[in-house]
Amino acid sequence: MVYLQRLTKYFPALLITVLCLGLLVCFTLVIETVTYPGFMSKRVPIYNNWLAILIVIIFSQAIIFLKETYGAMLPKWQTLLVTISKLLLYLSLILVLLTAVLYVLEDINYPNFVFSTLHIHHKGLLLVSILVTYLAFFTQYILKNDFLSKFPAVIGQFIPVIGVLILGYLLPNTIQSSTVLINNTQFMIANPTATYEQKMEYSWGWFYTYMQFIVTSTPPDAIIAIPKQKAPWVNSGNAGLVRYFLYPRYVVDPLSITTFESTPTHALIVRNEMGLENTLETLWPLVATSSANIHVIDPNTKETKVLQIDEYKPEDFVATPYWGVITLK
Amino acid sequence: MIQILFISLFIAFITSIGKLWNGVFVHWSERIAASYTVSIAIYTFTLFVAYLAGLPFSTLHSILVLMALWLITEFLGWVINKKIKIQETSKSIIKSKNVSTWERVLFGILGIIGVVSVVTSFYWPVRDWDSLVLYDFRAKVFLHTGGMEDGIARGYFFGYPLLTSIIHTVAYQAGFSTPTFLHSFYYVSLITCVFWGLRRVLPQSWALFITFCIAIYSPLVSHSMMTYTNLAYTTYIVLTVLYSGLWLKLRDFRFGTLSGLLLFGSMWTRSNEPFWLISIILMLFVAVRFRQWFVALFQFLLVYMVRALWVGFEQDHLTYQRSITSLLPNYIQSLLSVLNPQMLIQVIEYIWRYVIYPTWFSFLLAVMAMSISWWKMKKIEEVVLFQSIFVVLVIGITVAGTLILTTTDLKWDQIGDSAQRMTMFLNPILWIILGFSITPFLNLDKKKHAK
Repeated sequence: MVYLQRLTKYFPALLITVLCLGLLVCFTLVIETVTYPGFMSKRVPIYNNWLAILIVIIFSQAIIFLKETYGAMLPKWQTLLVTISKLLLYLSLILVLLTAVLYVLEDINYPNFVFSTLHIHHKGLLLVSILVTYLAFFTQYILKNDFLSKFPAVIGQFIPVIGVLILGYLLPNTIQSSTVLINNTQFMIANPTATYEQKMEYSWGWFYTYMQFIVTSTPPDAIIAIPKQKAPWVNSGNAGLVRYFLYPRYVVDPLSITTFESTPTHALIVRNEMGLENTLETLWPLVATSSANIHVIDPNTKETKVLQIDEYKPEDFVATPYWGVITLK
Repeated sequence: MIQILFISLFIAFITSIGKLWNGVFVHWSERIAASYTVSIAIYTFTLFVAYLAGLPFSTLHSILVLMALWLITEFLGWVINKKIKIQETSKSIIKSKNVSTWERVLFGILGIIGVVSVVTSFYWPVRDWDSLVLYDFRAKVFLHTGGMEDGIARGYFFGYPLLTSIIHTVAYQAGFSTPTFLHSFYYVSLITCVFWGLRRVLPQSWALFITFCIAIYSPLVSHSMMTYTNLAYTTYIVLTVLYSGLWLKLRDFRFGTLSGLLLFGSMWTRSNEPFWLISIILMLFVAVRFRQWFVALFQFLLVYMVRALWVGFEQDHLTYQRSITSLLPNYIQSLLSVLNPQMLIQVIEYIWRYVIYPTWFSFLLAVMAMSISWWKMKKIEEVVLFQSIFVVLVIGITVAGTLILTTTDLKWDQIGDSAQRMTMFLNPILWIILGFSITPFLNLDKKKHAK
């Protein structure tokens, strides 16, 4: 304890050390943000972003503990410290706002959008924001900021840590929640009187249109064969999903999750749902089938027609764009 | 006309439910919010029991059952309030100054989130995968046939209890084009009850800030506009833990009965996860400790009723076991067969990535608060301990459950999203733990709420 008390003599030096250490770690975080995660650890074997931040925080908290317990004096260059603290606060605000913008861009576009267009890792920037904000809180605490002084003494010295933890939690969640709310209201605001069909088509796209086509092309007591659920028939092979749209029609699949075992009266004609090339392997059914007729729909034009043919042959359909349903003989 | 009748009866029912806890709820908004969650659970379960007794699902039957429940609850409320002397000991909040600017801002943001969530949920139909495949599909079958047999014959029907499906059915019977708004109301109820729950132990600014941190949690916001079971389940579990904590702190048995009904609601929403086991054990411990035998019996009967009726119903229609007592030997055997360091590390990594990491800030804050409390005040609040034990046991069960899953599902590590949704309640509970942990630091001067 005496040793710790003697350390208070070196308080200004410790303060400079932690600030320099913090800025150094910030610099390495910025490098990782504009290059790639892992850039530093490839060159410095023991380096880890979170470990580096943790070391800065532990060191800083130790200085706060020293000040609170042994009453260390502020350095003579207090005015400079005030300036540094203000700069850190402004920088923190800018970084937090910038991080928020990047998170929003990432959420409303596609994964990796920010890096592919701006060559910045937005999650890396979050770490920079966290550390700079921590240093800002830390220096403000050392300078006995009025706002921070309002907190009870017991938890006051932990405010810098608590502050950045709350920032690290609130920032991504606020952005993601805002994006969710915006995504759910955009279509609604543009189409306030949309029908159920329009809303479902917006949500499910072509798959919903196709299901509605099946409903109009088959009787309510139809028993409809669907493909096994695997690529590329992810939706049309899901018996649980298909049965919702086609109810009260029955749905049977080769690996049936239903116990229903009657002979199908109809069979879907489905193609790939994953943007793959149209080949015999992405068309279902895969084998020739006797038919009374075949109802087809063109996904590009939404035109429908009935083909009076005796046999469905996959090789005849592969070159066409048609989806459809076979009325089995 | 039908819609107005349903809405009027449901409001009347919620009001009567609220009267059963006169002197407990701090604010009318808390009364409505808590009563909403309890009412949905009781109403949908009664419709299920009525179905088992031979009453098919129909608009008329739904109205009659709702009317009957309202009248019974009104009578119970009259008995309780007339015959039993109600002490308003639990209805006090921490004195606070007037609403400051930043508090107004936070209230405003919460209001905006709530309004946007509710408005969009009236607009969007059911469109989410799991709901189309099961929850709303069952509602469609109930609406179309009045019964379950047609749905059962078509395959995937069981696995999840019927709260969500039945309340969807009632929404359609009442003439609503979508039941999504009911899930949004769960979100609003959760936030409202958390705020007033915390106001009993924290000043307004702290309670508001913690409530805001819970409300802004993005999975909760997303699920408020979806028709999954996860948000309803989260609401019930979080409120169970919150009101159990208040029961422990304030020793008012009425919090115990309320917690019991909320636990019942959680089990009626989802029953695959055995988290209810932890809740009932902890709650029974509290009831026995306070010698509130009636409460212990009440809670036990509720849990038994939902397990017996729903699991029994499933068992009648399935070829495999669903009861925990029957499955326990198999579970233990499976667990022992995979208890090796390599598998344990894999499972812990999985749990870390999908359960803990998404909420690790909240974990760290809660642990910090408890540590500071222990270090500076040399004690941890009993309530905090109670809630923390719940969290630790939930994580333990999740690890054990995942280990067991590795023996039956080769793709166990590809359903991380499901694990995340399943444990969505952890984040709000951690913030509640934080709230209760900081109460010793604030030197609060508690004043009774003037009524």
